[in-house]
Amino acid sequence: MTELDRVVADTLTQVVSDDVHVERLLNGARASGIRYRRRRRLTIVAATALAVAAVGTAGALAAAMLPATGNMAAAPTPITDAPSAPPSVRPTATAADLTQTMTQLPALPPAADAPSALSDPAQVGRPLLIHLGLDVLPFPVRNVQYLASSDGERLYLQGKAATLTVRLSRSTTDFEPLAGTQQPVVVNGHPGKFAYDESHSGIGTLRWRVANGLWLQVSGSLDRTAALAVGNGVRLDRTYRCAVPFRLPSTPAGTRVESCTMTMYAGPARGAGLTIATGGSYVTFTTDSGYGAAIREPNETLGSRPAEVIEHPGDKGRPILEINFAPEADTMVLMTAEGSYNGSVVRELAATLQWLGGSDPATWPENPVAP
Amino acid sequence: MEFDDFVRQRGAALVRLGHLLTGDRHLGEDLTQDVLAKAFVRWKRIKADPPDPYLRRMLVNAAISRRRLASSQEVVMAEPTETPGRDDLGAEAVERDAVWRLISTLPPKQRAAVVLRYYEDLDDTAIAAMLDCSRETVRSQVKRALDALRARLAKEGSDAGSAGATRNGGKP
Repeated sequence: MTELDRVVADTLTQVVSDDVHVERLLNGARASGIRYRRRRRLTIVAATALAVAAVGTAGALAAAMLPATGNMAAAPTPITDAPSAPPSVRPTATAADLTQTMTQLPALPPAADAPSALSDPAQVGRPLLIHLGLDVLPFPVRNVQYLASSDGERLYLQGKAATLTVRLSRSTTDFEPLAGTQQPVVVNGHPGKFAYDESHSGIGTLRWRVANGLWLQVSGSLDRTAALAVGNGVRLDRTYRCAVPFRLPSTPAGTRVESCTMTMYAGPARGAGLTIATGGSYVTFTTDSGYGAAIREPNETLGSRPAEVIEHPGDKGRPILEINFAPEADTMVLMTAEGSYNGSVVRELAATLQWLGGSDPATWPENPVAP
Repeated sequence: MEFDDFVRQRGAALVRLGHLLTGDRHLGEDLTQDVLAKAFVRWKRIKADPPDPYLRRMLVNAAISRRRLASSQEVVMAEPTETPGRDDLGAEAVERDAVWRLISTLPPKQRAAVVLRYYEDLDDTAIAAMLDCSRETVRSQVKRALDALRARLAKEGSDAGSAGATRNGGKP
């Protein structure tokens, strides 16, 4: 080691400080991560809403040219011979429709004979079942998203100027941290904690554990009173299905469902998501319906549907395969394959996907990967 | 390892690395938090392998990208040095201050290579994997960085000597 080597090494070692506030770093990273994830989701919505505006003129032209299509936006590529793609005439949401609000949670399909989370806490973590309910919405909401995964369940509400997240899980690992000043509270007779973080525009977080060991958390722009009102209105005595408007009849052996999401708007727009895993490969299906989706540059045909297929480097340089196609007008399926996927298998999933469509989740399958 | 456990164990070390890569403690902390936030979203995938090398690589890449972006929009300055009078500092502290200031002005990849070698104590192969380049490139980056530091330190020493000589009535 030369003298300069020693000087550089000493300098770098002595310049850095040991005074790092790790809990603040952890809370900040978790909060940013949650916002980052939410932004990614909202970006899809916003991009699609912009696409509505972009194709508005073409849509109007198409509506004039095509009889009986109402105000349905025209997809740039005609969809022909699409399997399981019934002709659909539905109103298309405009960007303004995405800002309509609702004051009640949309109805979910009940899961017949499935035990509730209160009677069997082990049911929480099954991706096709939702046990989380809310008696009263704390504010008018623009969209509602349910998520069920092996980590637990989440209900996310977005209003004009407020958001609320309710979580249910067998552990608190994926919960937002209890940031800010904390105080003990009682929620529905169960001891809990309320934390209020003034540094993030006033985020209140209420966490409690119910008698059978399940954890619940309410987090959002809430003070103590509002958080307790929401907390006291959480229902765990009903069980619903998380359902998606498609079926995957040709999944490889050993495929399991990792997570399921349902997103509902006050207007006609809606979305769903399903992540399946086979060994080390993961494929996420996201569907967006009712607000004017379109394939930009189809470069393959999968199951007689024009599809846009892109492969690009992802985490650690490992490839990510994206396949987008429109199973019917005004609807888009976005597939993302990660991990040790086989491109042919993913293409086969796209080609054989049976689109069911419609707007009633009760008509969608109990298990979308069942043969 | 769960996300919280990882941050509690390795968060401070990542912030220190971020500080050295950006030249500014607060920027380093912000950058580390951004990187951890992105990792949080994908933690299930990341934790399948030892997460530390991956997070360090994310941090190095983020620091290099930030410097590249900043270079077209702002003048990147070394962290403002707290500058008590030279007479108040020992010679070693003065030297450290000067070296740190010069390291802070190195081009981003050279600086990352220097930090990874002299602070993280990584060998050329590990640095090459982290910077996504060959070992030869790593050696060349470090050599160029050291050459620049040596030349600038010599110049500063010479300038200081001249100034000192002037203040001392021309005596060395």
